[in-house]
Amino acid sequence: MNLLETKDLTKAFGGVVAVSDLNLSIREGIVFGVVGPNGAGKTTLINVITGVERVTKGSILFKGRNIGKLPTFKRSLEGITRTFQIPQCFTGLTVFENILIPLLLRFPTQEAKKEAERIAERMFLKDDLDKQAQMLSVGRLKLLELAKAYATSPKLLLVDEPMGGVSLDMMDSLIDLIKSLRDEGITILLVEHVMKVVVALADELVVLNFGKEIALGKPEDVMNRKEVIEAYLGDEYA
Amino acid sequence: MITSIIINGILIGLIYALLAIGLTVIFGVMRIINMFHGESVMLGMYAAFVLFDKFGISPYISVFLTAPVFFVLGAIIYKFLIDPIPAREREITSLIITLGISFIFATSAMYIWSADYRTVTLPFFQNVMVFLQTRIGYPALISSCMSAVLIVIFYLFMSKTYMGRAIRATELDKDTASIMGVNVKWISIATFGIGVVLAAMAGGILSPIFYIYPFVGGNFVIKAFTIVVLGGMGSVTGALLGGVILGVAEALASTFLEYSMKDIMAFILFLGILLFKPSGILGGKTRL
Amino acid sequence: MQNRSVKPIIILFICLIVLSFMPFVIDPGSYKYLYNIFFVVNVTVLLATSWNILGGFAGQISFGHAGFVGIGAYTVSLLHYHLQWSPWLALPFAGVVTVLAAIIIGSIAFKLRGPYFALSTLALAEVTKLIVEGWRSFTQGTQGIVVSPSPLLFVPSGGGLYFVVSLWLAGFGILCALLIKLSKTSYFFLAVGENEDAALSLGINSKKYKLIALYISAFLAGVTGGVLATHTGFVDPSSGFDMVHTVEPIFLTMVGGIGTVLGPVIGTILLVPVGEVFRSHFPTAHLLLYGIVLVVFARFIPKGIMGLFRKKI
Repeated sequence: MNLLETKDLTKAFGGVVAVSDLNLSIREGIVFGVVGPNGAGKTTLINVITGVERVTKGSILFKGRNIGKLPTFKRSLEGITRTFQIPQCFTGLTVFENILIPLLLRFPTQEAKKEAERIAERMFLKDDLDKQAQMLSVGRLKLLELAKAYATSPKLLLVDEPMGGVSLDMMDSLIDLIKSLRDEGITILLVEHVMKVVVALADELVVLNFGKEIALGKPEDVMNRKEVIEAYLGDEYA
Repeated sequence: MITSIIINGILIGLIYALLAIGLTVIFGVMRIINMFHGESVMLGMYAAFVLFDKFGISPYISVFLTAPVFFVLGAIIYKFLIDPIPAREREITSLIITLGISFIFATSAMYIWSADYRTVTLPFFQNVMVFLQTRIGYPALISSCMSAVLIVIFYLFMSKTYMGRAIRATELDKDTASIMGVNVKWISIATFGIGVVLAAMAGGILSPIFYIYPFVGGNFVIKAFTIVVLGGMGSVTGALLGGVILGVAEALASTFLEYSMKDIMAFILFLGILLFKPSGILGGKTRL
Repeated sequence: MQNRSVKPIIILFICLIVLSFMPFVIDPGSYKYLYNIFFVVNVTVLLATSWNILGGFAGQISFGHAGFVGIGAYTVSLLHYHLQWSPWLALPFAGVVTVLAAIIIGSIAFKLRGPYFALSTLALAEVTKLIVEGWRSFTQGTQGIVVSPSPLLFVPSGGGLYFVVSLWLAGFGILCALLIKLSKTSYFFLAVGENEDAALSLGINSKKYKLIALYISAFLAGVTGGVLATHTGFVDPSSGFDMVHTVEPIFLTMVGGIGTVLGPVIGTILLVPVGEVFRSHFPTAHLLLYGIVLVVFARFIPKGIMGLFRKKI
């Protein structure tokens, strides 16, 4: 069974159609890439799957169940968590507290505290535990954003452009980190711009343009397709 | 009968609109809610009163004389008390700081002028003009007209002058404005000063019509907020529209319901708009 | 709960018990003025703590607490006036009725966030006051209602009684704050206050937690209003819904340390006695003092006195 399925998923804001008739099937345990030029509807897709935006038409099935009516927080409790493009951490709280909070929701206090430390270590944040989130550099903030999401014991993790503003060596660490999350059994939907990252991580890939699916398949196959090149660079290059 | 209610409603609405423009501009540019806006009006009223009482200067003239003082006051408050606060906390902290300032102003006024009601009694305050079967008091008429004129002048300022356009640019997109050479920090300071001036001027213009007392600011604040949300935060034409709507709504309410319902009107409109159409009747972000 | 968390509660009870003996040591009859100040301090601690639970713990800044106080004050007064209840009997109902009102108020105000939430609480408090003013047949409008001094069980009305009752009410408020602080809920409150969208995306039901904070806060504020009305012996719209009950808890909490349990207590103990003395010599000067303190602290010492010590409780 597919972990996540969308059927004719459409989201319109007034006259602007951000996502149009998407039919995606995401198997468990893979990294599913979502790429496309700016404004293609990638973040909207994440917003709709997590419930931040309501579906205009179509449906979303998680583990076979229609989750359209569930509010965002319930979807997180079901196992769908996302990270934000601009990290949304609890800036006045420490790194430890940031990771602890989602854990407290799901585990008894003592266990949660131990797990928070374990996760921090896994995410290379062990030395920053007592630092306030607002003191962190961009790269560490991204790690914290991932750590918080990881702490929700997600089945499906939607990662929104994690590489934005990240240095090149940090990028390799992030790639390895996301790979290890997948290897742990977490299904990942990765929205990303940086091609090197997508090619390195994605098991399957969908290319969006103007909210519509224009290609689907393995990265190597998809990236050479005429429609894809056209979408990114214009027809002269196709 | 209905015409006279509506006409009087529009007249007072024009003055209300002037009241609200200062608030909406501050909000539009800096996303700050100025809780001492009402007290700025109150101080403007007292300024007009003092100049009229001691020197016989008409409030319609003295508002221009006192304008620079209020501008500097606003600019100083913003520069030293609000601007230094980190952007993240500014929204809530400025709310609290301006609340504190409102108390400081109101109680200081209490001290200086006592709680006695004051009035600015212009020589022609009894005279009445009749228009479309409506009796319109001269002070109300002149105040409304002056408000309308000031609103138009301000609109032109915002659309035609460099400064005005710089303010609007900052309102729309702070970063782009900055790149285009606008000194965002000083624009913010100036805008806050302008907001205070406009409030004080409205106060001066209102002084012949309303009783003046230290805590009168509280009444005006809610009306101003209502108008701002009615018309859309940051929108000058919205403030004009909102002011007129509030003025007419109040006039209708006080005639057909009860007199005390007049005050509730502002609250009902305020809450209603915030709940159902928070972007205001004109909708859309920061239109001029 | 571990042993560590019981300690503050034990300390609280010890303090309350010890202080309760004060009327036997210092005679309330001879020191009426002193006991008046004690009463005001206790009641203000209760109100400031109530505001802090909503505004400090959960990050939802309320400008409408005067409304809750007024509702509580009127509940006691109306039960006394229409049904001849003893105000002491009516006191818990003051809290309950205020919570019922908070259900309505919350359903409106929580559609908004941040400063707009604050403004709408202000507006709703004013609307409540206007309704009370206008509904003359029920509330006596601006005429007000007199609450006659009543004994509580076998204890006659007087400075000592008011002191002890207000002391334990304040203690109850502090206990609520402590229990929240020691539980997981305080973390969820924090999360919702810091970044509601992030909290939602992590699975926190922000609406539920905001409402919990609101209801607890409203209950305590309502009880404050009730006991105030009983002590003053009179309530009318302007005194019941006095803006002071909105502003005072805010700045006292800011001075003491917003978001901490002791913050409202410290702020109150430091400033209220001073303010009361001020008030008797320079009426309304104390408002000026409050305004200045509020601005200075919000601008320069936003974490308050507790913030200077960097403690969490």
